[in-house]
Amino acid sequence: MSSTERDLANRAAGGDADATAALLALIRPGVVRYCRAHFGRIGGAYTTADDVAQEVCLAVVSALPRYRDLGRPFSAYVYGIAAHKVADARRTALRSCAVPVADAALDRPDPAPGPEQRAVATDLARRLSALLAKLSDTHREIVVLRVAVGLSAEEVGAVLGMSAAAVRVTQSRALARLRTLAGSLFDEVAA
Amino acid sequence: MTEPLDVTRVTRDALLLDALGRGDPPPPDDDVATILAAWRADLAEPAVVPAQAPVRAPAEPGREGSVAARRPLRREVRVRATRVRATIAAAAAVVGLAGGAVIAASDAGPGSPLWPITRLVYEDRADARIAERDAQHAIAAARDAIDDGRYGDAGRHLDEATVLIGRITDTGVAGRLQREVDALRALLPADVSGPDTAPSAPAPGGPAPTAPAGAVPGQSSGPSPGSTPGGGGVLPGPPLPSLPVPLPPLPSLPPLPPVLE
Repeated sequence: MSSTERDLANRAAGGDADATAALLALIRPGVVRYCRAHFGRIGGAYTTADDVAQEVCLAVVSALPRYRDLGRPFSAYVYGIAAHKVADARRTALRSCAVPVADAALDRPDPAPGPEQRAVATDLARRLSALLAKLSDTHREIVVLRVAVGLSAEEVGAVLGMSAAAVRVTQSRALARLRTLAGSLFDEVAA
Repeated sequence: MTEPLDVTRVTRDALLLDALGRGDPPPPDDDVATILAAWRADLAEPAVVPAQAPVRAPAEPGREGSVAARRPLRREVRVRATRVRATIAAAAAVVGLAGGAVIAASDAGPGSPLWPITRLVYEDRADARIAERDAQHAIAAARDAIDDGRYGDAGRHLDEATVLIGRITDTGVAGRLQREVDALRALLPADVSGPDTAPSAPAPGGPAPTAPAGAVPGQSSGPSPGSTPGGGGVLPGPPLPSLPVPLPPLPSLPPLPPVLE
């Protein structure tokens, strides 16, 4: 997957429109999940997160002519851009106070009506977002990149400037912290 | 302060996160893995515009409840291409309002950095853009061929351009290009721009005029009234002098003398 992305990225950087389209189709699902993981549902929908994801995709396409293959996974390039876009969107949201960030929306009930299955699954997802908000920035980013996006430890290391071994140790600690925090969550669900 | 490193646990957690990252089902006895899997499945849900969000089917009997509800909603991850495209377009439109980038993409042509976005989001518009570009190339090739005296090639390029113009949705562009084609066709010798190579000017944005195999001579709006059918393949040259029409009656010969019979 990574070599495919790099090959496509090199061709796209050279102006190959077909490679650019293929690359965009390849990275977009992960970018969408990344932005959704950071913003959560707002007003019961992922519209805001999807808007940011679209901005990330546009920024990646616009930056492609300047892309140079330095031997790093292309995902490091993509999620470096994505992290900046998410941070920008958060700052904008905080300034305008019009769009609550994920952890601010966590205590609110989901206003969207729906079957119980969806409601509970969505509720679990929201509660997990609450747990993630209690992790450190690095722990949270590793969990998002590893689980939500599906990057390997090597790719996450390239994104965060860590070795793959350091990522594995840190993600294990993040998971342990998550297990500790989740105790009360499962008590609530079982109740 | 730093916990001792448990290599076994680190390895186990790495394998677990690898599996969750792939969207694999979680181990049944791991609550945190279950909630992480449910979270990932929720993140992968097809994007919907809230006002148009369809109400999902109720949960199957026996699957309700907290444990069953944690199972990843894998079926719902399968998306229809049209729905995805509509969602991309909706999201793109919102982004475009903010930054103008997608609006720019809607007008991007081949070669633009935003061209992939155009092809992905504005598929029909992209087809029209390709047709416009190819028509311009065909017209340019026809112009070069006329300059070189290759009138047969020019006629074929103009035929190709006419077909491509029929696929252009922008009526203004289609009309302008068709006028260029007509002007160039007027430069062709009469024996090149025959009825099957001189289609009538289409209504801008209308269906593509195809070269009719059985076109009736004389019905073409081409500028060469003396054009011949099946002109493709006729070598270019000056028009032949026309014969007087009608021809004068031939004088009748007297009958032969009987001695010669």
